[in-house]
Amino acid sequence: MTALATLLFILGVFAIRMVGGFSLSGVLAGNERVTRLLLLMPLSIVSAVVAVQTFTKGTTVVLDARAVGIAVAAILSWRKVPLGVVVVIAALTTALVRQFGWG
Amino acid sequence: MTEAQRPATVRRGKGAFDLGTLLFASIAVGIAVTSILSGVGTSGWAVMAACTFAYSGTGEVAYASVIAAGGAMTPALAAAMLVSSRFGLLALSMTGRWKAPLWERIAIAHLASEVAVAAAIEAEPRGERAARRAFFELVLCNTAGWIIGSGIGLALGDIVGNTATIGLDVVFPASFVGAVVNSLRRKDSTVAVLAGAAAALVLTPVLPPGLPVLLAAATSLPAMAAPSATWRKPFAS
Repeated sequence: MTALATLLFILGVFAIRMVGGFSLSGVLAGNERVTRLLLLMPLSIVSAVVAVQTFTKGTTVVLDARAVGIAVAAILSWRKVPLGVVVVIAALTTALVRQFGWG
Repeated sequence: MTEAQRPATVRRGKGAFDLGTLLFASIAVGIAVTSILSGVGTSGWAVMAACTFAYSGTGEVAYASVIAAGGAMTPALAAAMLVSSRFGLLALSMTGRWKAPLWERIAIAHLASEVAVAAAIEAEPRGERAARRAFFELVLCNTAGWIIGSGIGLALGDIVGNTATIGLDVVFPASFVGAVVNSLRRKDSTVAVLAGAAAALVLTPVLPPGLPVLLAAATSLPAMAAPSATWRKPFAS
């Protein structure tokens, strides 16, 4: 990332956040349906990010060692295991699966 | 007794241990993202500036993946912006949750990451103050760990070598998986997470990086049709 790219990246992301945080807030505040939508939308986004980071490479959908690590992370998270532990075990699991030659 | 039914006094904020592990996880994510960005020839100060002020790990990863695939700066930046566009929605989702002066609203909009927003939503049944506290506790651990991790990532540099060998590439998604699986306890959020993931995967082969995640946000609309109840008993809070 060059100096110009870094600057544009920082300014661009900041602008996106401020548009979200300020431009629409007055119009939508207090509406019950909107409140519920705003509770669900981050979950859709987070889930999509996890799916893309786990099951895709470039523009192709793939199943590799990452899926095993994330599956283990999902089980541990469901059992309310603390995040730091979840993350480390997920990484170790993925590394181990790769050691055995898959993905 | 379900989480929601427990008396409010029992469920204070996250414990020090949970926040400690979050800090640790954030450090791991910082290391992972930095090594990816350094891998495409980004100088140390640029890595630190991007991680501190842009505060968008997926944006950095998207930029690096386009450059690594031989792309130019403009498409790389476009990909980073597209991936980061969800932060606009996350910032929007944080508006009006509690009364805040202008500077705090700017801070909330800038710092609204997935984990912090998820923590605020989770704490909201216990009141505005609990939601505010949960949000900023998460933000503090997240940003501190993230900056420390980026620093360590730079220091390690070539020592780590191929980050995939030690599973660093799953650190980032693994840190979000908790919010996803715990959403499966409620009907409407189950629809939101399953449809969101499905939409993103279906759209990935046909759209440029970033757009699938952005469009997947729209799956929260059909999720509104599902009842906001837990699977076993009515949502009590």
